[in-house]
Amino acid sequence: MTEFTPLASTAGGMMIGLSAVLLMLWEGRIAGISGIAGRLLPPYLDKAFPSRLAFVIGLVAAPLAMMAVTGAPVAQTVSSNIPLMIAAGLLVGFGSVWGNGCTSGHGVCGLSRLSTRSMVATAVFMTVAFITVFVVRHVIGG
Amino acid sequence: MSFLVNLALGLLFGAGLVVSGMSDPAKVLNFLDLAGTWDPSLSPSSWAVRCSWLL
Repeated sequence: MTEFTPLASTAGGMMIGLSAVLLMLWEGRIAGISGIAGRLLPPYLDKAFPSRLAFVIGLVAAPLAMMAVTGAPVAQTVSSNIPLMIAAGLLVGFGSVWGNGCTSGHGVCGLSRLSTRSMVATAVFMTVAFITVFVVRHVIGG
Repeated sequence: MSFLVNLALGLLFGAGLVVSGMSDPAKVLNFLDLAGTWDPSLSPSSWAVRCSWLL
């Protein structure tokens, strides 16, 4: 069970949205985390490597900065099953490349731009996510 | 300059994930677990994401 935090979640959502809007205005770039991280690897089709790297550094440093400011550790509950985590990470990587975007690219930016492709993608991955959790927690794990 | 702006935007995005609770996989899984320990916190956050964009 996790605590119900509607206000904090709304505030956090607005921060994410604001970041995505400003990135669009400043760079003309979609704040798709998988895409930005994936393009840190070759081939380099543009000269945007430093700015992408800066965004990823900021992203990774954010929880550390939050801890420094608030003094409280950031809640994290991660599976200790390493092979499972590797398999899951690979699935996320392949899925976001073949699907042309991840939760942030399609779900945050795509839906807000009313992109049909992103609506389809988001509907599919959210549905599959709900089904996967149901099967894992209540069919297999139940 | 561009480097610093992107660094700041990455920090803002990451801080948003932490504040909203999406940085904790347990919370995300509970949002997806309608039949069990459902935590609806993340639905307002996803709508806030969308609204701030439309502004």
